[in-house]
Amino acid sequence: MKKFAAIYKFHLKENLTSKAFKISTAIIFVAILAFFGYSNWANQNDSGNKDSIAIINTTESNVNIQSLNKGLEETKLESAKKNEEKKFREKVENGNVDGLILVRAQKGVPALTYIYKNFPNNEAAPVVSQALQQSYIADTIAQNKIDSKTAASLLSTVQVKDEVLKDTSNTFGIVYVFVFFMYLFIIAFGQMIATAVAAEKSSRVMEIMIPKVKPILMMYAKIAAILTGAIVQIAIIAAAGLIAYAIGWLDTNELSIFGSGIDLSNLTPGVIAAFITYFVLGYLLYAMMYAAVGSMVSRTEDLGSSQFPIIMLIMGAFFIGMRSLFDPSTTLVVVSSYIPFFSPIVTFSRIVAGEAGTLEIVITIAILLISLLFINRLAGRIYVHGVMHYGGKVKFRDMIQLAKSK
Amino acid sequence: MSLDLMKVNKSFGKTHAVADFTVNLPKGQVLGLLGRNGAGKTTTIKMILGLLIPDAGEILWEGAPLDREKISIGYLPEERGLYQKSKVSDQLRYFAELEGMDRQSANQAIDYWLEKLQIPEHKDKKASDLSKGNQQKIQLIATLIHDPELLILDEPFSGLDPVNANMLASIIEEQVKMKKTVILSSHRMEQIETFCEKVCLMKDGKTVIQGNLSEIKQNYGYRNLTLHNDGEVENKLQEWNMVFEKKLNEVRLKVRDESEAFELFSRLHSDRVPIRYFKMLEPTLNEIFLEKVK
Repeated sequence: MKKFAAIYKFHLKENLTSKAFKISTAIIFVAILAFFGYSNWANQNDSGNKDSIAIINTTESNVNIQSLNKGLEETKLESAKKNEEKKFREKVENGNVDGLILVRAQKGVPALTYIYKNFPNNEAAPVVSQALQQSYIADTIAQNKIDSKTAASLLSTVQVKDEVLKDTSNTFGIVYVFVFFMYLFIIAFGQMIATAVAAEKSSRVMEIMIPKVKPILMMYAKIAAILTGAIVQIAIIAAAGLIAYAIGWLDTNELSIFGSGIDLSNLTPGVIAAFITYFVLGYLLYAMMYAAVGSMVSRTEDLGSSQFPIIMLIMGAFFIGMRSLFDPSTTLVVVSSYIPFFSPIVTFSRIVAGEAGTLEIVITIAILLISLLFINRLAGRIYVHGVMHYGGKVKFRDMIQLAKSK
Repeated sequence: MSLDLMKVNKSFGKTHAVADFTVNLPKGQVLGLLGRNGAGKTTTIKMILGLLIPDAGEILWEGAPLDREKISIGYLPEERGLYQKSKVSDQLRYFAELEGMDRQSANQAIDYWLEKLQIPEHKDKKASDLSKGNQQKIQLIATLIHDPELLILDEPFSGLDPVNANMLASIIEEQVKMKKTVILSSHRMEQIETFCEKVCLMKDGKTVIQGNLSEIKQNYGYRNLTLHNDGEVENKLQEWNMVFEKKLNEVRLKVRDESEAFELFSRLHSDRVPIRYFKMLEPTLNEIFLEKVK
């Protein structure tokens, strides 16, 4: 235990004080603050900088621009004179005005033309057309002296009411973020282990180490030290988020990623616990495989090709996890959630989507734990023999042989 | 009170790396493990360290199977390496702590050894910033820092310049004086001949010669007899059909023992060939080695 602590401490210190760790953490920290800072700044600037859209109304129907402006968040409507169409068209062309709405009568019914340069303002046209329609209807009712009750019943529309039993759209953003982080952490920290082991081997410092400690103890201590480093880094990322929140840069209602909103109300303690559980289990599973691969190569340069099978597995997990964003109950996703290599990402995304029941969670964790025991034995054997085995390129056959030997 | 290897065997696939290796090394003595590359020296060392498990045979320390946890071993591997990105003091402390030393005594030992090897200025440098020779010194410190009972040095002199080789030799000598049990492996005989009481010559996994160095030399079967050559000696030897080696102004020939040498002297004397000087030496370890492992 004392030796374990010594190895753990040494690698943790080496890890935390390494340039790579300091620089990457600083970059992530600054990037997160910069991201929120920028989006906050952009939001504020947006609100003071509304799109200006001119309206030229040549019909009798009246549009009250002032009252419309009160209801518009991103647009400021301005009234223009009837003979100014050409001038405003030029203004739109030049970018001085963001758009021009022409209201003209076509066969006695008002029609609306929206002129814009590149990108339409999605807010103005529907609001103006609705106001115009109301005004036209009111005028028509008045002109034809229709009974107001008849008018009301004529105007009543068929209502459409959405009733979503399981709305995955609001969990989309958060699953996306977590699946991505899970993938990123497992692959980044797993590779760190493989590199650390391979470097220890290729620098031959392993020769000093193995007579001093049991190799398996080294493997566990290193995995634990890098996991701690990972958690420190996650904590720093979380701290950056909290700082952004404390300064007021982070508006939890408007959080979004690639246009899909992140609904933080889905972030229950249960989900966080599930993330940690699946992350730790998944990390351990992959970390051991990475350690085994790292122990097999004699030089760090050989690591790339040797870890390819592991990368395939984790990529598979990532893409199935992405698939479960849109459809968490397809057969592929459901089956994958029971496969230990995939379940850390896939089952977790099903949990957030509300698809995975308690039984599924229990079973997948049990499967993960059992496979962890199995992989632990296998990786341990490969590791113990691998660290003393120097030679050319690793063949799969060698690996099986090492796993078999006692 | 000794290290005993009894009929130790190890094979890798079809190669019999070590065959029936048996040696008894009393505590406080030095064993030289000699052999060409691939003779089985490192495999033997790895079995003593417990890194490889023998296919057959026993390794005993003080009569009981050697237990790595109970005996402190200082091992200098043949392949040198350090944690390149860590500070010298950090990794030395790490190695010391793994051998059960506490922080304070580890720090003291680090300072002592850095001072002794004349590199205290490298204490806070990263290993990658040190020259190869200095890295080897750091490794030597890592081997000795915990004051081990059993010292195993695998090719300790390889890659050292003459000054550093001398420094290493004096440190080994000091360890020997401190009654440490030492195993040295080498393919350079002259470097370890001075330290070893016992030697073991290996070839293709088999022990070719083993025992006390002076006894081996004494009983090896010949002496090197060197005589001054002014032409007459050479002619006589040719006349008698004797095999000899001609040097600049000497001839060298092998004789079985002293009596054969004296017999030769008396024959030369009776033929009135003057003998200005002669010397008779035991074969060097190098000669024995070359003859035995060829």
